[in-house]
Amino acid sequence: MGKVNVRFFANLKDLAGTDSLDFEIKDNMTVKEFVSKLLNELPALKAMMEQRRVFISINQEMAQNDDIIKDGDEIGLLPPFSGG
Amino acid sequence: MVCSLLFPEADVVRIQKEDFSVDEEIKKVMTVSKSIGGVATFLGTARDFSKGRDIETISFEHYGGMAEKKLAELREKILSEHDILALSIIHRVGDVVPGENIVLIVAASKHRAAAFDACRACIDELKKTVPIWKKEITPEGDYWVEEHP
Repeated sequence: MGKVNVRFFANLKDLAGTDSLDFEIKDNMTVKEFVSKLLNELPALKAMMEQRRVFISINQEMAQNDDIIKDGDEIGLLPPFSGG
Repeated sequence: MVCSLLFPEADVVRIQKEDFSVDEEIKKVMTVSKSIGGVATFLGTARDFSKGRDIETISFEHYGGMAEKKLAELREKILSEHDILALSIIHRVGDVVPGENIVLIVAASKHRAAAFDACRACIDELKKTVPIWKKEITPEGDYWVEEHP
């Protein structure tokens, strides 16, 4: 068991109703498992996460579905970028 | 590699709330090398319309730390892939009103073609890889923008 800090941005921040929260994770939890657990607890994010290309970052680096999340990590949920 | 003493990394890749001076940024780039023969700039500015709606304000949000890191990586990539001598990238965050500056890219090279190409590649890649988001504030409501036109 462990805890991560989840950061929300742009429309995901609006849907989550917060810009960050602490979230409990299991040992050896993958990004894919983390997203599934998060959506169970925050169903308001589900439509956006399923219909748009949302990137996940771990400690400010882009992550893949099978990457392992560790206690203390900072997880970013990043909607499609629109800078410039 | 550009001269880091004259032109520190922290100054050539910036995310800031305040406006910037295009002239000042070009002058800084020109200090890098006397071999510069051409400078190309891309200046992104705020429009007063989008998809048939009037824009009152564009509000930019970024992932602090990661956005700066991705901009620095982007600069290194463009420097390595194009025959240019210097490159600076500045992006504003916070509220920007129509007519104001948003983003500036300054690319300098010995000959013009490389500067033009680097400038274009840099803004195209920035839109895809740097965690910055914009929300358009309109009389009909606020809208997060998702596409990369």
